[in-house]
Amino acid sequence: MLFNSYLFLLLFLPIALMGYYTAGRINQRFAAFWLCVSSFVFYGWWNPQFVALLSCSIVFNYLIGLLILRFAASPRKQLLVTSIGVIVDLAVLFHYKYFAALFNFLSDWGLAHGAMDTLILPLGISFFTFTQIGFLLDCRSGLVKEKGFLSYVLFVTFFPHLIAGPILHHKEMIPQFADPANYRFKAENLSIGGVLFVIGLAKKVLLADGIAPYADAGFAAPGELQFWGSWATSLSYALQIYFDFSGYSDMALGLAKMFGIAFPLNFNSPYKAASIIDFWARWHITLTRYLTAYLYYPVAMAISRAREKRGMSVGSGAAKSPGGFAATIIVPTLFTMGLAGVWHGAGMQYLVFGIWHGLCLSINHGWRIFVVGKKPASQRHASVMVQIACVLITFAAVLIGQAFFRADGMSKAWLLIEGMFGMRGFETLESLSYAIGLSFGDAWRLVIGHHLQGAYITLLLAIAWFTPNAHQMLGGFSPALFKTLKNPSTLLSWRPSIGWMLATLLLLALCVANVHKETRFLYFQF
Amino acid sequence: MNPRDNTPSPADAPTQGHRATAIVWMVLLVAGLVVGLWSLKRVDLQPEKATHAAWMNGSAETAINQSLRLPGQSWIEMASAAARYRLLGDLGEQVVLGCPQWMFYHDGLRAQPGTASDVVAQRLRLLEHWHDRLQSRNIRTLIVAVPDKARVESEHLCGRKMSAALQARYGELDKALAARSIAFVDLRPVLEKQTDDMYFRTDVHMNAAGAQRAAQAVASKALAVLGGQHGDQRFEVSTPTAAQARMGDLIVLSGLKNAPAGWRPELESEPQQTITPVRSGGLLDDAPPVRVLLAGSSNGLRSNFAEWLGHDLGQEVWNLSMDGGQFSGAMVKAFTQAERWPESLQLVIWEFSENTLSLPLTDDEKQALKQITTPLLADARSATE
Repeated sequence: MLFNSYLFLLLFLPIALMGYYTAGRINQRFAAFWLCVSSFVFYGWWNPQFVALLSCSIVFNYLIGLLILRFAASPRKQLLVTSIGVIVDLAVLFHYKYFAALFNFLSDWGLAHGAMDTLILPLGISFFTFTQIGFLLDCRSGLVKEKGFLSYVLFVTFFPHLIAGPILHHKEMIPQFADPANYRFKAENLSIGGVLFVIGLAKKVLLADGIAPYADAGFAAPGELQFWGSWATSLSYALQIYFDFSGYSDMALGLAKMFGIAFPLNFNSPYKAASIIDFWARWHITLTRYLTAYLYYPVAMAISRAREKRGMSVGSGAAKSPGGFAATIIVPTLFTMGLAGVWHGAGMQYLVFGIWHGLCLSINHGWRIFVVGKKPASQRHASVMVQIACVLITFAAVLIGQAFFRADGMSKAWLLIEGMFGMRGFETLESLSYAIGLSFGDAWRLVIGHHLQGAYITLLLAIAWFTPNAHQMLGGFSPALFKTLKNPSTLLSWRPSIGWMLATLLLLALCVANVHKETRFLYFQF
Repeated sequence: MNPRDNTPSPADAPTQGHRATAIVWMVLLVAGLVVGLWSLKRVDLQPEKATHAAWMNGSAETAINQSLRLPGQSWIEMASAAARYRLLGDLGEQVVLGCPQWMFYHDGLRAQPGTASDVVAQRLRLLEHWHDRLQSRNIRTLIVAVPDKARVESEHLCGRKMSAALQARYGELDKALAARSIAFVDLRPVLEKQTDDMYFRTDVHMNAAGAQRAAQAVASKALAVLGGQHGDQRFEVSTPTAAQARMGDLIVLSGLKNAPAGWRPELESEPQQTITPVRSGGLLDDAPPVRVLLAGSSNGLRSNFAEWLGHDLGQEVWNLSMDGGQFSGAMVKAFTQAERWPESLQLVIWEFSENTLSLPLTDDEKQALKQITTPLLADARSATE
């Protein structure tokens, strides 16, 4: 079921919400059970067959988690059980997501015979698998205290995050599900959750879906695009994925808030980032912290231990020498980002996307350590122009990465990048000359209609760069577990007032008028 | 993460405000539920979507989802489309505005996003296969590709461009058919660069002038294929009536059918004309045996194309053209009736719009391709074993 569908808005949400608070008045466990059932219905609506897979995954991981906790006094047994759990989870993920692609890849190289159809990917499998692997690792680290089955099922299936994140930590969710106060109706939950949901819905329905056809058309035939067309395609996709994912995250946080639950912030104006390090601290925040905790740190720690054994420097001291920098920063960064790329899908372009970001991050770390770090603290403050240049350079690096992320294969990504570098020439703005001599209405429709993509891009870039994000607008009312920067605009600071209510209702009306198209979220495929 | 540094002061957190806002949301949720249940009650699930398998693979759920409508949904959609046209010159995803009042089908300007790159080659394969099947029954084939409006009326695009791949497509088809010795009518010289418009402004189809010219060219080629046997059927051609307003299909496609004047491109006016075979009226006035079958697209049903074709051939044409048939819909339909074809049939004129070559394959086309390739693969396997 999609958040941006009539079925969800008109039937599922009212029934789930009313049932939840009605059940909460009777019994907390009953309300939790109701929410679990609602979440399974939400998930199963897309393809009921995969409910069995989700259920098996939950039961398996819960039992493995219990075993890990039971073997707390026996580290070797604990490691064995944890490894079995993680391997089985990854094997299931591999089976659905990578097996057919790998088989066909080997077949292309003559190492296997025949071809295999790609399996239908169970919705959200990457997200619920990662969530549960995190749980197993937390069990082993002794971070899991609450082990009730109902709480665990709710932690995994709670519908606002089940399909596309945020990726949650057991320790930040279970206490919330265990708190009886969260099962009682509070006006502010509905008030704040509602406005955040509408902002997210508007981002998806009005902004992301509005520009999506241009991105799709450009990426379908990148070899036919010249300079402006290539840039317009690249920017269209950048804005589509930005508002699509940002909209989903806002809707998820808004919905969770309606049910009295706070999620971690997942998106924090990433295109305002002045460095690629800053970008990853703002884009898909929960994936970044997951990868940092479970991939980057373990690798970095292993390298540091190995260096320590050999009597070499570790920590910040190691990173100051080229060799130490390569070992302690570049290797774990490339490893982590390479896997982050592959996590998004089977295909060389995803690996290149990850490696590209790994390289950019490594360069950024190098700059921070070897250039900025050597300056006196008083000279590290950058001027506004330098800040703007940093934002633009970061954005350009992101666009290059996204060419690989979106294109149907490496060759098409290269074609787009070639076009962006003007290697297929430049278009003229021919249609402007046709507007001369026409009536104002016809001339306007001719000019704006023929350049609507440019108008959309300008508007959306202005929103992404110059307006506060939803959580900044909500300020202290934001339900996010991590907080955003201060909102620079008092005009765009939300309050539960009549004016804001009317503005929100207008936005909602515009969204509802466009909801029938029911386009899927981009992150549903990962 | 940055600390929360814009926490509302107690005065900024008015409980009353939250309560009032929450009440509005509650009212909306209840109203939504009522509308949702009302809409759900009106859902008419097709029998194939109500099976156990459909429920298990999610297609029943999808069908229910797509059937839900808001009260006044059609009006909302029309108002939205009208505002987009009037204020932004935007005609939706399928239609684009060229010069003022000129509408074009988007698929004529660029291949539909997500279409596989080999669809044209696959269609050529189908075309060859069906040509061979007809030949095995001693029936000739004549291919007619109606050039896209964007190609013929390019001066009305006002700066929009047909993509290079699509520009080259017609020539590639011509070349491929020549290489296979399949008869083909190139309509480009017939329709391009004429003083009059050959297509409707607000429709993808040829207008009366375009259809008449195209039919004349097709008939001329068909007669050549048939060995020059012009029929002796006479036709009565009426005098064109006064011009009448006509709803263009691109206006309908862009959701502007019911928009008020000024909020959609102007309707065109077109005179009506009839072309009917002349019968003696006697009891035994049998029509002559059918020699020519037209398996066409919607072009065969518009602007008297089929009628002019019959007129120019001097014989009535068995017209199996269909709306929405795309590339091969009419051919598929014709082959399902192959057992009942009259012995007199000598020629199949297969007409399709140029742009349908580049659309994604239909289910029928996929199935037909599978039927062609499966025996070939089996032969190849047995040869290697």
